[in-house]
Amino acid sequence: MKKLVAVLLVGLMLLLLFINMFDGSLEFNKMDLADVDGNYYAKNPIVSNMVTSVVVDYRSFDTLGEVTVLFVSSLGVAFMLGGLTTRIKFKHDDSFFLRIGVKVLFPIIVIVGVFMFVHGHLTPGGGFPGGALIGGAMLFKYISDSKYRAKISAFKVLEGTMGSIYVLLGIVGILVGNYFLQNILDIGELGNLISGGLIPIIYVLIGLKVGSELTGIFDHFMNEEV
Amino acid sequence: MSLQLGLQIALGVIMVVIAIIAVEAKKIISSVIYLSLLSLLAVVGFVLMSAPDVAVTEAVIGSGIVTFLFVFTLIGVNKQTAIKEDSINDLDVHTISPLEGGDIK
Repeated sequence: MKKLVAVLLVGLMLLLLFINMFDGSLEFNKMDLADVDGNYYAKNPIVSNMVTSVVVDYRSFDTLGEVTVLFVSSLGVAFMLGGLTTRIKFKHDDSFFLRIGVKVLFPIIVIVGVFMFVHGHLTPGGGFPGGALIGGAMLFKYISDSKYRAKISAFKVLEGTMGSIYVLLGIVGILVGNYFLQNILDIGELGNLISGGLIPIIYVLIGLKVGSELTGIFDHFMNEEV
Repeated sequence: MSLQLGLQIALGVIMVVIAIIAVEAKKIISSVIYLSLLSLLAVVGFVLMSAPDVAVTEAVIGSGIVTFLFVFTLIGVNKQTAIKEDSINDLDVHTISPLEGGDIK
Protein backbone atom coordinates (compact mmCIF):
# COMPACT_ATOMS: atom_id res chain seq x y z
CA MET A 1 0.00 0.00 0.00
CA LYS A 2 2.74 2.43 1.00
CA LYS A 3 4.77 1.52 -2.09
CA LEU A 4 1.71 2.02 -4.31
CA VAL A 5 1.08 5.49 -2.86
CA ALA A 6 4.76 6.39 -3.29
CA VAL A 7 4.79 5.22 -6.91
CA LEU A 8 1.56 7.14 -7.62
CA LEU A 9 2.96 10.34 -6.08
CA VAL A 10 6.22 10.09 -8.02
CA GLY A 11 4.27 9.40 -11.21
CA LEU A 12 2.03 12.41 -10.63
CA MET A 13 5.08 14.59 -9.98
CA LEU A 14 6.82 13.42 -13.17
CA LEU A 15 3.63 13.88 -15.19
CA LEU A 16 3.25 17.46 -13.95
CA LEU A 17 6.90 18.16 -14.67
CA PHE A 18 6.61 16.84 -18.24
CA ILE A 19 3.38 18.72 -18.89
CA ASN A 20 4.98 21.90 -17.64
CA MET A 21 8.18 21.33 -19.54
CA PHE A 22 6.46 21.37 -22.93
CA ASP A 23 3.93 24.00 -21.97
CA GLY A 24 4.55 27.29 -23.73
CA SER A 25 3.12 29.34 -20.89
CA LEU A 26 6.07 28.51 -18.63
CA GLU A 27 7.75 31.63 -17.28
CA PHE A 28 11.39 30.67 -17.45
CA ASN A 29 11.20 29.83 -21.11
CA LYS A 30 11.07 33.52 -21.85
CA MET A 31 13.35 34.78 -19.12
CA ASP A 32 16.89 35.63 -20.17
CA LEU A 33 18.94 34.50 -17.19
CA ALA A 34 21.93 36.57 -18.27
CA ASP A 35 19.94 39.73 -17.52
CA VAL A 36 19.13 38.71 -13.94
CA ASP A 37 21.83 39.92 -11.59
CA GLY A 38 21.87 40.93 -7.94
CA ASN A 39 20.37 44.32 -8.73
CA TYR A 40 17.20 42.66 -10.00
CA TYR A 41 16.53 41.23 -6.54
CA ALA A 42 17.42 44.52 -4.84
CA LYS A 43 15.01 46.47 -7.05
CA ASN A 44 12.11 43.99 -6.71
CA PRO A 45 12.02 42.96 -3.04
CA ILE A 46 9.17 40.69 -2.00
CA VAL A 47 9.58 41.35 1.74
CA SER A 48 11.57 43.91 3.67
CA ASN A 49 14.37 41.45 4.56
CA MET A 50 16.03 41.19 1.16
CA VAL A 51 17.96 38.02 2.01
CA THR A 52 14.69 36.27 2.82
CA SER A 53 13.09 37.40 -0.41
CA VAL A 54 15.95 35.77 -2.31
CA VAL A 55 16.23 32.66 -0.15
CA VAL A 56 12.55 31.79 0.21
CA ASP A 57 10.99 33.32 -2.89
CA TYR A 58 13.38 33.65 -5.83
CA ARG A 59 15.51 30.68 -4.80
CA SER A 60 13.01 28.67 -2.75
CA PHE A 61 13.95 25.46 -4.53
CA ASP A 62 17.53 25.80 -3.24
CA THR A 63 16.15 26.14 0.29
CA LEU A 64 14.21 22.90 -0.22
CA GLY A 65 17.52 21.31 -1.17
CA GLU A 66 19.18 22.66 1.99
CA VAL A 67 16.37 21.30 4.15
CA THR A 68 16.82 17.96 2.39
CA VAL A 69 20.55 18.00 3.20
CA LEU A 70 19.77 18.48 6.90
CA PHE A 71 17.15 15.72 6.71
CA VAL A 72 19.66 13.31 5.16
CA SER A 73 22.26 14.11 7.82
CA SER A 74 19.73 13.51 10.60
CA LEU A 75 18.82 10.24 8.85
CA GLY A 76 22.48 9.25 8.81
CA VAL A 77 22.90 9.97 12.52
CA ALA A 78 19.78 7.93 13.28
CA PHE A 79 21.12 5.11 11.10
CA MET A 80 24.48 4.99 12.88
CA LEU A 81 23.44 5.70 16.47
CA GLY A 82 19.80 4.54 16.42
CA GLY A 83 20.51 1.20 18.11
CA LEU A 84 21.79 2.81 21.29
CA THR A 85 19.17 3.37 23.96
CA THR A 86 21.04 4.01 27.22
CA ARG A 87 21.42 7.64 28.20
CA ILE A 88 25.04 8.80 28.51
CA LYS A 89 26.20 9.15 32.13
CA PHE A 90 28.06 12.19 33.40
CA LYS A 91 30.59 11.74 36.15
CA HIS A 92 29.10 14.48 38.30
CA ASP A 93 25.63 14.74 39.79
CA ASP A 94 23.12 17.18 38.35
CA SER A 95 23.94 20.73 39.30
CA PHE A 96 21.07 22.39 41.13
CA PHE A 97 21.90 25.85 39.77
CA LEU A 98 22.19 24.60 36.20
CA ARG A 99 18.84 22.83 36.45
CA ILE A 100 16.99 25.86 37.83
CA GLY A 101 18.79 28.22 35.45
CA VAL A 102 17.80 26.10 32.47
CA LYS A 103 14.19 26.06 33.74
CA VAL A 104 14.24 29.87 33.64
CA LEU A 105 16.12 30.15 30.34
CA PHE A 106 14.32 27.43 28.37
CA PRO A 107 11.08 29.36 27.66
CA ILE A 108 13.02 32.54 26.84
CA ILE A 109 15.24 30.75 24.30
CA VAL A 110 12.25 28.98 22.73
CA ILE A 111 10.35 32.26 22.44
CA VAL A 112 13.36 33.97 20.83
CA GLY A 113 13.57 31.09 18.35
CA VAL A 114 9.86 31.30 17.54
CA PHE A 115 10.14 35.09 17.15
CA MET A 116 13.08 34.60 14.82
CA PHE A 117 11.26 32.37 12.37
CA VAL A 118 7.91 34.15 12.58
CA HIS A 119 9.60 37.50 11.85
CA GLY A 120 12.05 35.96 9.37
CA HIS A 121 10.73 38.13 6.54
CA LEU A 122 11.07 41.39 8.51
CA THR A 123 14.18 41.12 10.70
CA PRO A 124 17.49 39.24 10.38
CA GLY A 125 17.17 35.57 11.15
CA GLY A 126 14.82 33.05 9.68
CA GLY A 127 13.86 29.43 9.73
CA PHE A 128 17.31 27.90 10.13
CA PRO A 129 18.66 29.96 13.07
CA GLY A 130 15.24 29.98 14.76
CA GLY A 131 14.94 26.22 14.54
CA ALA A 132 18.55 25.80 15.66
CA LEU A 133 17.81 27.98 18.72
CA ILE A 134 14.89 25.71 19.65
CA GLY A 135 17.17 22.71 19.21
CA GLY A 136 19.75 24.41 21.44
CA ALA A 137 17.11 24.95 24.15
CA MET A 138 16.36 21.22 24.08
CA LEU A 139 20.12 20.59 24.31
CA PHE A 140 20.22 22.65 27.54
CA LYS A 141 17.48 20.43 28.95
CA TYR A 142 19.52 17.33 28.10
CA ILE A 143 22.70 18.68 29.70
CA SER A 144 21.05 19.94 32.89
CA ASP A 145 19.06 16.81 33.73
CA SER A 146 20.76 13.43 33.46
CA LYS A 147 17.46 11.55 33.22
CA TYR A 148 15.69 13.82 30.73
CA ARG A 149 14.37 12.26 27.51
CA ALA A 150 12.40 14.24 24.95
CA LYS A 151 9.49 12.55 23.17
CA ILE A 152 11.48 11.83 20.04
CA SER A 153 8.64 10.02 18.23
CA ALA A 154 6.49 13.16 18.42
CA PHE A 155 9.39 15.24 17.06
CA LYS A 156 9.82 12.78 14.19
CA VAL A 157 6.13 13.06 13.28
CA LEU A 158 6.40 16.88 13.40
CA GLU A 159 9.51 16.83 11.20
CA GLY A 160 7.97 14.56 8.58
CA THR A 161 4.71 16.50 8.50
CA MET A 162 6.44 19.86 8.07
CA GLY A 163 8.71 18.60 5.28
CA SER A 164 5.76 17.04 3.44
CA ILE A 165 3.73 20.25 3.70
CA TYR A 166 6.66 22.20 2.20
CA VAL A 167 6.80 19.87 -0.83
CA LEU A 168 2.98 19.90 -1.13
CA LEU A 169 3.02 23.72 -1.19
CA GLY A 170 5.47 23.47 -4.10
CA ILE A 171 3.14 21.12 -5.99
CA VAL A 172 0.21 23.48 -5.29
CA GLY A 173 2.34 26.16 -6.93
CA ILE A 174 2.54 24.02 -10.08
CA LEU A 175 -1.20 23.29 -10.05
CA VAL A 176 -2.39 26.85 -9.39
CA GLY A 177 0.40 28.90 -10.90
CA ASN A 178 3.23 28.21 -13.29
CA TYR A 179 6.19 26.62 -11.56
CA PHE A 180 7.30 24.65 -8.50
CA LEU A 181 7.08 26.62 -5.23
CA GLN A 182 5.52 29.67 -6.86
CA ASN A 183 4.38 32.33 -4.39
CA ILE A 184 0.66 32.01 -5.10
CA LEU A 185 -0.69 34.12 -2.23
CA ASP A 186 -1.16 37.88 -2.16
CA ILE A 187 2.11 39.62 -1.33
CA GLY A 188 0.51 42.49 0.56
CA GLU A 189 2.14 45.61 1.93
CA LEU A 190 5.91 45.69 2.37
CA GLY A 191 6.93 45.54 6.02
CA ASN A 192 3.73 44.17 7.58
CA LEU A 193 3.83 41.04 9.70
CA ILE A 194 1.29 39.36 7.43
CA SER A 195 2.84 39.99 4.04
CA GLY A 196 5.00 38.23 1.53
CA GLY A 197 2.46 35.53 0.64
CA LEU A 198 3.91 32.08 1.28
CA ILE A 199 7.19 33.29 2.84
CA PRO A 200 6.10 33.40 6.53
CA ILE A 201 4.32 30.06 6.18
CA ILE A 202 7.39 28.41 4.65
CA TYR A 203 9.66 29.89 7.33
CA VAL A 204 7.44 28.56 10.13
CA LEU A 205 7.53 25.12 8.46
CA ILE A 206 11.33 25.26 8.09
CA GLY A 207 11.81 26.46 11.68
CA LEU A 208 9.74 23.64 13.21
CA LYS A 209 11.40 21.09 10.91
CA VAL A 210 14.95 22.19 11.71
CA GLY A 211 14.20 22.36 15.44
CA SER A 212 12.78 18.84 15.60
CA GLU A 213 15.57 17.45 13.40
CA LEU A 214 18.29 18.92 15.60
CA THR A 215 16.53 17.63 18.72
CA GLY A 216 16.56 14.15 17.18
CA ILE A 217 20.29 14.44 16.42
CA PHE A 218 21.02 15.58 20.01
CA ASP A 219 19.00 12.72 21.44
CA HIS A 220 20.98 10.22 19.40
CA PHE A 221 24.29 11.79 20.43
CA MET A 222 23.27 11.55 24.11
CA ASN A 223 23.10 7.75 23.93
CA GLU A 224 25.96 5.36 24.55
CA GLU A 225 26.76 1.71 24.30
CA VAL A 226 26.15 -0.25 27.45
CA MET B 1 42.25 54.11 7.14
CA SER B 2 38.83 54.16 8.69
CA LEU B 3 38.08 52.64 12.07
CA GLN B 4 35.98 49.85 10.63
CA LEU B 5 38.66 48.76 8.21
CA GLY B 6 41.20 48.72 11.03
CA LEU B 7 38.86 46.62 13.16
CA GLN B 8 38.34 44.16 10.32
CA ILE B 9 42.08 43.79 9.71
CA ALA B 10 42.77 43.28 13.43
CA LEU B 11 39.96 40.73 13.61
CA GLY B 12 41.32 38.86 10.61
CA VAL B 13 44.81 38.69 12.12
CA ILE B 14 43.43 37.40 15.44
CA MET B 15 41.34 34.80 13.60
CA VAL B 16 44.35 33.50 11.68
CA VAL B 17 46.37 33.28 14.90
CA ILE B 18 43.57 31.38 16.67
CA ALA B 19 43.20 29.02 13.71
CA ILE B 20 46.92 28.20 13.87
CA ILE B 21 46.64 27.63 17.64
CA ALA B 22 43.66 25.33 17.04
CA VAL B 23 45.67 23.25 14.59
CA GLU B 24 48.73 23.09 16.82
CA ALA B 25 46.97 22.45 20.14
CA LYS B 26 48.17 19.38 22.05
CA LYS B 27 44.80 18.23 23.40
CA ILE B 28 41.91 17.69 21.03
CA ILE B 29 39.47 19.32 23.44
CA SER B 30 41.46 22.59 23.42
CA SER B 31 41.42 22.45 19.65
CA VAL B 32 37.61 22.19 19.71
CA ILE B 33 37.32 25.15 22.08
CA TYR B 34 39.63 27.25 19.87
CA LEU B 35 37.42 26.39 16.89
CA SER B 36 34.41 27.61 18.87
CA LEU B 37 36.29 30.85 19.61
CA LEU B 38 37.09 31.19 15.91
CA SER B 39 33.38 30.92 15.07
CA LEU B 40 32.60 33.54 17.70
CA LEU B 41 35.07 35.95 16.10
CA ALA B 42 33.62 35.14 12.68
CA VAL B 43 30.26 36.33 14.04
CA VAL B 44 31.83 39.73 14.82
CA GLY B 45 33.31 39.75 11.34
CA PHE B 46 29.94 39.09 9.72
CA VAL B 47 28.32 41.88 11.75
CA LEU B 48 31.09 44.26 10.67
CA MET B 49 30.41 43.28 7.07
CA SER B 50 26.69 44.05 7.75
CA ALA B 51 25.42 40.50 7.22
CA PRO B 52 23.32 39.94 10.36
CA ASP B 53 21.47 36.91 8.93
CA VAL B 54 24.71 34.99 8.46
CA ALA B 55 25.96 36.22 11.85
CA VAL B 56 22.93 34.81 13.68
CA THR B 57 23.26 31.46 11.92
CA GLU B 58 26.99 31.29 12.61
CA ALA B 59 26.48 32.15 16.29
CA VAL B 60 23.90 29.41 16.81
CA ILE B 61 25.39 26.67 14.64
CA GLY B 62 29.12 27.40 14.47
CA SER B 63 29.85 28.19 18.08
CA GLY B 64 26.95 26.37 19.73
CA ILE B 65 25.84 23.17 18.07
CA VAL B 66 29.06 22.15 16.31
CA THR B 67 31.00 22.49 19.58
CA PHE B 68 28.45 20.27 21.33
CA LEU B 69 28.64 17.63 18.60
CA PHE B 70 32.46 17.59 18.67
CA VAL B 71 32.63 17.39 22.46
CA PHE B 72 30.12 14.57 22.79
CA THR B 73 31.67 12.65 19.90
CA LEU B 74 35.01 12.92 21.72
CA ILE B 75 33.41 11.64 24.94
CA GLY B 76 31.88 8.70 23.06
CA VAL B 77 35.13 7.83 21.26
CA ASN B 78 37.04 8.13 24.52
CA LYS B 79 34.74 5.75 26.37
CA GLN B 80 34.89 3.17 23.60
CA THR B 81 38.70 3.38 23.52
CA ALA B 82 38.80 2.99 27.30
CA ILE B 83 36.59 -0.09 27.09
CA LYS B 84 38.61 -1.66 24.27
CA GLU B 85 42.13 -1.07 25.43
CA ASP B 86 41.41 -1.02 29.15
CA SER B 87 44.05 1.66 29.46
CA ILE B 88 43.90 5.20 28.21
CA ASN B 89 47.14 6.50 29.58
CA ASP B 90 49.07 6.53 26.32
CA LEU B 91 46.42 8.53 24.43
CA ASP B 92 46.47 12.27 24.14
CA VAL B 93 42.68 12.49 24.30
CA HIS B 94 42.32 10.98 27.75
CA THR B 95 41.75 14.24 29.58
CA ILE B 96 38.60 15.14 27.65
CA SER B 97 36.19 16.12 30.33
CA PRO B 98 34.47 19.36 29.43
CA LEU B 99 31.56 18.82 31.76
CA GLU B 100 33.08 16.66 34.43
CA GLY B 101 36.36 18.37 35.23
CA GLY B 102 38.33 15.14 35.57
CA ASP B 103 39.25 11.95 33.79
CA ILE B 104 36.51 9.82 32.34
CA LYS B 105 36.38 6.42 33.95
